[in-house]
Amino acid sequence: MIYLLVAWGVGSSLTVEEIVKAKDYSLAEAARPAFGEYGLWFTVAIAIIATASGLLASIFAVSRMLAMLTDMNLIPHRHFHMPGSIQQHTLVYTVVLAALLAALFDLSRIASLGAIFYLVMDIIIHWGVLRHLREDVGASSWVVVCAIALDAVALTAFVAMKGAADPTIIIIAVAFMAGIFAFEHFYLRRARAED
Amino acid sequence: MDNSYEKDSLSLVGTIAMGTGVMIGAGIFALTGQVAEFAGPWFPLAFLLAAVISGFSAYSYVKVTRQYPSAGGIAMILKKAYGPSTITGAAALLMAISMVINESLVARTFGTYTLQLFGIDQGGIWVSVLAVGLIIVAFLVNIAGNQIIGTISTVTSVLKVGGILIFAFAAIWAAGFSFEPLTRGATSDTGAEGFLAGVALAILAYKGFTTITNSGGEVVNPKQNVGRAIIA
Repeated sequence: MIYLLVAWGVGSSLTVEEIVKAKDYSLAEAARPAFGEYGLWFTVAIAIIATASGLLASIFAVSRMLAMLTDMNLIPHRHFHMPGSIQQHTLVYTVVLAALLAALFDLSRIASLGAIFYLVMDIIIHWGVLRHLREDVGASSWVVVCAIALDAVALTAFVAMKGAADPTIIIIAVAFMAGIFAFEHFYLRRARAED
Repeated sequence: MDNSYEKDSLSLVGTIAMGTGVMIGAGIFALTGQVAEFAGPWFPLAFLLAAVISGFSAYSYVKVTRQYPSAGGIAMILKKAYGPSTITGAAALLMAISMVINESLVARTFGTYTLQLFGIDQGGIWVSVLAVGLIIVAFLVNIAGNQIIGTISTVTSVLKVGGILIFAFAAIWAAGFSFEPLTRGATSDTGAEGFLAGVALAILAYKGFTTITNSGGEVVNPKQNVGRAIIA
């Protein structure tokens, strides 16, 4: 609902051409005609607070999740002679990767990668719930099937659009996912062989 | 923060604050323009549809979290469903990486908005510099300890939500409550496929709800309140 209001506000203040032209900072641009420089400052201040604190919380969440995966023996871990706990190490990996991505890709490419990975992961979760956990947790199958179908429709449309405009990023996304699956496959097989 | 932490202690307001706290940072500032580029004049509706899809998605997370309240997080849900298999590991890594991607998205958004203060429209190298700088600062705060993060999140999510609402209402009010998408941007008609592609991106903006499910055990009446929090 909040997003709807914001989108409505931006949409009523700018034309689509103007939004696309200023797509990386569209809210600040939308504040300009309506409220002048003060509106711009206000919006930028909110954006800075929002992005900085969001990043803080998110980095914490990812490092905790990676530490948990390490605990579950699902990913390999090497200390590289660093001091500190495992979560502090995964924090370092998280930060280095995020910094590399931020430095190398522009916003639309980063967002595309994120959307594709997230939708694929989401479908895998729903599939898992549908196949293995449905009765255990008492989930109704039509809701889960709907979730999968809606995710799939959005993903397909997105890949089709993006594939026409910027095929490179689709290739990067697919190669990356294949790499992750292959990596996990071989890592877990070796881990099992060692047991 | 309050130390007397109990089960069922998170109210609807608390749930919304936590979810939006993470969500709004990444979501609205970075993605509004991107979604509009795909979806054209009807992009507010793309956000609406994305909310509906996220609602359906949340169902699975909420159901599993309710059955296994202690088992917070994506990795646990995956492990319950697939065991310690390749799929579990790979999907969990995908999730982690998509969150890292989100971080770099947020960091760059920080850069592009900050540069607006200096009247620089296409920042080029400065966007990267600011983005990496912010990541390094966030790293140092994280190393310093968890306590600070909790406090900062609580305070800033109130500021954020308040500020965003002021922005939205003010912008709508300034435009005289009129939204006439077809007359304003008729030239960029992108069709149904573009609209759906916009929805895919907009879903990214709602990702914060996975953070909500992490605390499923503490939420009062989880099913209804998590659902409401997503709609908000």
